[in-house]
This record gives sequence, structure tokens and C-alpha cells, in this order.
Amino acid sequence: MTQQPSPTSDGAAFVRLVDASRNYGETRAVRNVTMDLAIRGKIHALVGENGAGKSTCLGMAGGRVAPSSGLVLVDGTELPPGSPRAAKRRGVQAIYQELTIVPALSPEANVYLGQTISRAGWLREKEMRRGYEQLCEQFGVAPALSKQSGDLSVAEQQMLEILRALASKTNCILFDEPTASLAQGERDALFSTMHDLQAQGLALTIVSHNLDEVQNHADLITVFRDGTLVETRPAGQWTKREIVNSMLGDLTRGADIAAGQHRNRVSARDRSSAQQPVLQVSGLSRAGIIDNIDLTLYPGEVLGIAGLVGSGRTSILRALAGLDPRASGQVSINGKPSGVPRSVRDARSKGISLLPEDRKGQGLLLARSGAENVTLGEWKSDSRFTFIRERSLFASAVSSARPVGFNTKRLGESAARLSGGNQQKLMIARWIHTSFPILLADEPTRGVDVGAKAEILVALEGIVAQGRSMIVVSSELEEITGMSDRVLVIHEGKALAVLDSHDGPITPARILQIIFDAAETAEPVPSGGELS
Amino acid sequence: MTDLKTATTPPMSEPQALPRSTFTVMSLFTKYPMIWVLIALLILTTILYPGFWGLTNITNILTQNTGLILASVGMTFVIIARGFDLSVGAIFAAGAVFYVSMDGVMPVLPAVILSVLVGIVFGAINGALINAVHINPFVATLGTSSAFIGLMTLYAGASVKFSVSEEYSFLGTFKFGDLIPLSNVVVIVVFIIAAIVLAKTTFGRSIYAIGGNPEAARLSGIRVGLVSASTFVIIGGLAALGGVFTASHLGTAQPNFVGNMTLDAIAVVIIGGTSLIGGEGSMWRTAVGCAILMIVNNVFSSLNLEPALQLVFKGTIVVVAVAVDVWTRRRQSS
Repeated sequence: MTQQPSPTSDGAAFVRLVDASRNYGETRAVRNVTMDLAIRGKIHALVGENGAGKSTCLGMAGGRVAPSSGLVLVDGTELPPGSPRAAKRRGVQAIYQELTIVPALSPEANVYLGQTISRAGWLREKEMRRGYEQLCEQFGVAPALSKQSGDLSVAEQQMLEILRALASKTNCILFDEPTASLAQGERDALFSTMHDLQAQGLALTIVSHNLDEVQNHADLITVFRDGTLVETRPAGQWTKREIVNSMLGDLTRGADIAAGQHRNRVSARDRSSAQQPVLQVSGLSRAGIIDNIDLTLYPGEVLGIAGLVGSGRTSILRALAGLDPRASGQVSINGKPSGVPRSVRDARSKGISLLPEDRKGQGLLLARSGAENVTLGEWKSDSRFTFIRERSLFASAVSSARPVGFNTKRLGESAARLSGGNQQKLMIARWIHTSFPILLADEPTRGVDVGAKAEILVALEGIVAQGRSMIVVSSELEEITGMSDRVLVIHEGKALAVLDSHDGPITPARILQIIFDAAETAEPVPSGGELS
Repeated sequence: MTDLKTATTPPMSEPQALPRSTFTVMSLFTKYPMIWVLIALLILTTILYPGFWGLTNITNILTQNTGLILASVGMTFVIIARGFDLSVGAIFAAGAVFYVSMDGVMPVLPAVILSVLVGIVFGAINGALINAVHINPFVATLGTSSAFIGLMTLYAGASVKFSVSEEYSFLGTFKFGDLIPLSNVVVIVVFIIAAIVLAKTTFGRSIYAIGGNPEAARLSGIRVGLVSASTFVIIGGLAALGGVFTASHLGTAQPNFVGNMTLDAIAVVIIGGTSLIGGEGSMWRTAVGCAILMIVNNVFSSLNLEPALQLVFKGTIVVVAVAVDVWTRRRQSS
């Protein structure tokens, strides 16, 4: 990695917005913001709800978004508006939420994408590979050299994206939600690298929804609300409560949950042993990925699955959702043996529905209306002889969207126009619309802002309280511990323990302890609880 | 399970109405610029070629383009479902050749049904190659197009008829009250039915879903492969029906009927503003596209203008249509 020496010194603003605004049609995404966005030798965190304007500010600094009015100054001189290429040349690298990995290329080719090392037009493959391996080592990630990038997990692809920024000569890196798809270990590695870069005098700016992370690692925290800058303070001068209150303004609903004080659900439900489990799985396996997993799900229960990235937690959901025809094992629904679902339709006929991790890629019809997205595929009760009864279908969409706190007046808008939080509410409303008793939720609040997250969690609890059941996978342990009645802890495809909130509060620390113990002992670990 | 659902949702307090889109004539035009093009074209046509509005001219236009209209109806289904069909011209010719070859073999009605069935089978082959064997639609129909024409040439051999019996020419020549050709009525009825199926039925909704996001559609329990394949069956059947009417009208059929049919059908859908990306578009857009292309053809041939110039004009319209579409989309999103 080569860092350009720079004339400006630590503590000086590298990227500055001057009275910058950005409009999207009628919407004013950012209004007259003046700020030092990236500062040499500092980590600057931007926080706020979705749509608060933080990502747009980052986009303006990275040249992706042209300001409608105002200036972007890089190192004191104006940046030509809307030119990511110019920004890069001036030493500003940005990593956006949407991954820009070319699936058919190797990982190292992706890292050097747009910055290939060549001589007279010929690629210097060895040099690039060496550089890539060095980066991997420095960053503590497995190089995965023989794979195509498209076969890597989302988290691994995100890593490539970060490595790409590090491989370039740069003075400043802008991160938009870099940790959303990373597991704890990878997050720690990312932050320790960020601190290294900071020590080298780079200006780092990060947009994040994870307030704990932000408070632990950032030097400065700026809060955005409704397209305006609320306040910038050194990190030490904020309390979490103050940050949340500034983000939400008057709207303090859900702030308790957002601040990590989940309401205690222990003994909230009656699970006598006589109760019939709605789903019972034994010996669920998929060669090389998951090994002999048992789990039980009772009506009105939330079962969390906790594990590191690559532990097989998503594979369990995929197998149960009928997405993995090669999975084997026994599955019983309401006591009736029925086998592992062979297809999505098979799973749905058994009452199992999946909330996919990638809501844009696998969930939504972005060009179609919210109502259409809620009712997708389930038209039977609102149609007659295959003719859709538009009014009744819309009314169904309204009654399914209301419990999740979706503004039903916006159901006619196309999904592409909605924020991440509202899109996710549509996805959950879709489950309500289907009436399926079992939901497999993969990262239900990923990329969702604090306010919407609280609403989604409360809505899910409300639905579960009506007797439906849910299996949740999340890389945020606090979310799992906050929601789940029981937690299945897995590591490298094997079940380690089932923690029951009846036996005492489940905490992230307890889960991590179990996983790290298992990682240390090479021997198979005796299970820490009953596994069914 | 239904009672569970009602339990989770609060009773609806007020009657919920569908969101009324702010529908004004102006918004229609800024949103769908091709309507402007059509109107401008109509005005220009009225000035250049006053005979245009005659009933005979209008019915002639529709009769000459029976095949194109039916093919572009099918193409709309296919393209919205994220597919593509390069073999529609071949199936059109196959329907025509097969229909004529039945003259003297069987009465007209079973011949029509069998001819359409040939198109349906060919469409099903396309659908299977694309959705069961998972060949890219472009490549699959490029291949089958050639194979279908070859098959029809082998089948027809040297026995191409140059005049069909009166019974067989009835479909293409009968006029209600000596004014309105039967084929015009059929084309319009098919168009209306297709528009209703696309906009108002669960099947139509599934087509938009698999075109917009196949993975989301699959996870929502929609049979993606089946729905996609059925769009190819529809276009196959419609193209063959177009072939039947054309053969009946002209009294003859040859494998070289293929002509520009395929590219014209795709052009019509694109001119109307249906996106090649899939998941968007509608039947009335195709109607606009059809109208534009047919008017241009009619004016050029009626005024005896240079045919090469007509090609240039047609090509320009396609490119401009897409450019305008891209431009309005970008303006809307920013």
C-alpha cells in the first residue's frame, strides 16, 4: 500500500462541503450542509435515520452525487460535480453500500479493478497477486484465490470492496455502512485497520447505523436529521441517548429498543412441554456446510440462530425454505413428518416463508407499487376466476402493511422510491399477507435505520404474539438476543448449544463465549444445552 | 390460517380506496412521450396524405399488418417477462405454410386449429429450451428460428400453392357489411383480451413479477419457469394465427414470409416504451408502437416514397423512442 504524502497535516479538513444541497425531484435529500466531512487523521462518523441525508453527503464527497447547489472542496479546491473519477484522482475513495464486485472475476482481479498494475498494456498478474496476498494478510482475511468472486458470501465481497480502496493511493476513504454484512471478527479487523490508516494520516469517514461501533471507534460524530446537519461533537461528548434523541428529533418512539435496551421477554410466553411444536427438524445436513442440525420451533416463538459469517446459519434457512435441494434430514410440521422442502413452492405449501437477506435482489419488484409488492404471488383470496379484484387486493395490502407501521398512503408508490426501512416493512407485510405460520427471517433489519428498526422489531413481536413463529438469523447479536426466546448457537456447520431465555438472560457475551470456546478446542465440542 | 390473519390486523376503520393517480392529460403526455410522437405523426400524415383517414385505407392497414399486430401482442408478453423471441417470424411463416398445405386435405376449421397448434408446439419448444434447459432466450430462439424455417421448407417442398380454395380464403377476405374485414375484428378482439389478461389477471401479474425480479417471484411461490414458458407458447400461437390470416388473405404462403416480421415486432414493443429489461410495459404501449410503425409504412408506400428512406426513418424512430424513454426515466429519477 502506498500513501501519498500530503501537504495538509493532521486535524485539517480534507473534504469540505460548503452550503451543499441535493434535491431528488421534490424531495430535498440534503439542505444547505456546511461541514468538514473528512479530516486528516480522524475517523468521522455520520449517523442518522435512513433518508436523513448522510449517505447523500457521502455520495457528494465521493463524486457519485452532484450537488444541486453548493460546493465540494477537496484539499481546498473545488471538486468537479458528479465525477467519481475526479474524486479518486484527488485521493478520495468511496465504498458504497451497493457492492461493485464483478462476479466472474477472481478476488484479486476485483481488488485491482480499475487500477490494474500493467506494463505496456500487459497485466502484471504476479505483482497483483502478491499485492493482494499482502493486503489479505495485513487485514487478516482468507485470500480465497481459487474462487470466483461471485461465489463468495456478501461479507467476503464487502471485504474485497474495502481491500480495493486500500490498494489504491488514497488520502481519504469514505465508508457507507461497511459493517452491515460483517461478523464481529471481521468488524474488529476492519476497525483496527481503520485505526492504522488513521495513524498514517488518512481522513476516514464512516456512515453507520451501529451506534456502539461509532461511539467506540470514531473521533467525531455528526448527527443528521431530515436532510440537515443537527450537530457535530467529539465522540466522547455524546451519550448514546443524546445521539438517538438528536437523530429522531421529537419522535422518540422506539428509542429504548434502538438504544439496545430490549424489553425483557423472558417468560413472556407459555411453552409447556405438552405443546406441539410447529416445526421440528432433526439431522438437517448439507455436505460440507451444515452437519446434523436439530431444532424445534413452537407456536408463538422466536428462535434465533447465532454464529459467525460462514458458520452455516443462512444455509439452515435456505434448506428449510426449499432453496437447497441437496439438503437432507427429517422435518415435521405440526407433528406430521414431511421431509425437507424440495422447492420454494413445497416449503410454502408447508407454511414456511422466507424473508430473504438481499431485499432488492431477491425480494422486491422495484418498479412496481408497494401494494403489488405486499401481495406478490398471493392473489387467491382477492381474485375471482384469475381476475384480480383490484380494490380488495389493495385493501388486503393496506391491512397487512398497517401493523408494520408502513404509511399506507405510500402503498401506491413504486418500491424503488422507498427507503430501506420502508422496503423492509413491505417485505414483512408480505408475510402477514400470506398467513404462513412460519417465517425464516434472514437479517430482518439489515440496512434499516434506527427508527424503522424499532418499528419492525415491535411489529414482528406483535405478529409472533398472535401465534406465528419465526426463526431469525442476524449478524447483530444484540438483535438476536433481544428478540429470541431461544437461541441456537452454531459454529462451522455444527450446533453448539441451545440457550433458553427461561434459564436466564441470553447475552451476546454468552453466545460469543460459546463460539470462541469451540473455535479454540479443535475437538468437537460437547453441547452446552439440550439440542432439540 | 385466514382467521389468524384477521386477528393480527386491526379492523379497517374507514373504507380504503385505491390511490387515485393524479391523472391529467398533461401528465399522460410528459410521462409517455411516444403519444406526442403518434399525434405529431397523425397531424403530419393528415397534411401529407389526406386519403389516410378513409375507412378503406384504415382497414387495409390493419389487414396488411394482421401478422405484425398479433406477433407484437405476443412479443409484449415475452419481453415483459424478461424474454426475447427471434423466432416469431419463422413461426408466422410456419403457420401460413401449414395452413395452405391443408387446403383440399381437410375442412377449414380443423386446419386453422392445427396451424395454430403448430405455432403453440414451436412456442413450447422455445419455452422448454429456455426454462428447462436454461438456454439464453436470444440464443435459443436464434437457433430455433433457423430450424423452424428449415422444417417448413422441407415440409412444403416444391408443392407451394399459389391459390387456395374459396373456402380457405374466406378468413382473410370476408368483410362484415362489405366494409369491416373479419381479420380486423379478430385482431382487435385478441388485442383487448391480451390487454385484459396482462393488466387484470393473476397470470398477468405473475408476468410482471418474473420480469421485474425472477428471484423475488420464485420466493413468492410463482412458477417462474412455467409462466415464462407460457409467454412463448402465447406468442407461438398468435404468430401462427397471424400466418393463417395472411395466407388466407393472399391466397398463398411460402417459408420466405418471414421477412422483417421478427424485428418489426420487437421494434413495435420498444417504440411503445416497454422496457427490454423486463417487468415494465403494457399492451396499450404496444398499440401506440404498432400505430406509429403502421402509419409510417402506409404513408411511405401511398406516396411512393423511396423505400430505402423508409428504412432509415423506421430505424430512426426506434432509436429515438429508446433515447426519449431513457431520457425521461433519468429525469424522473433525479
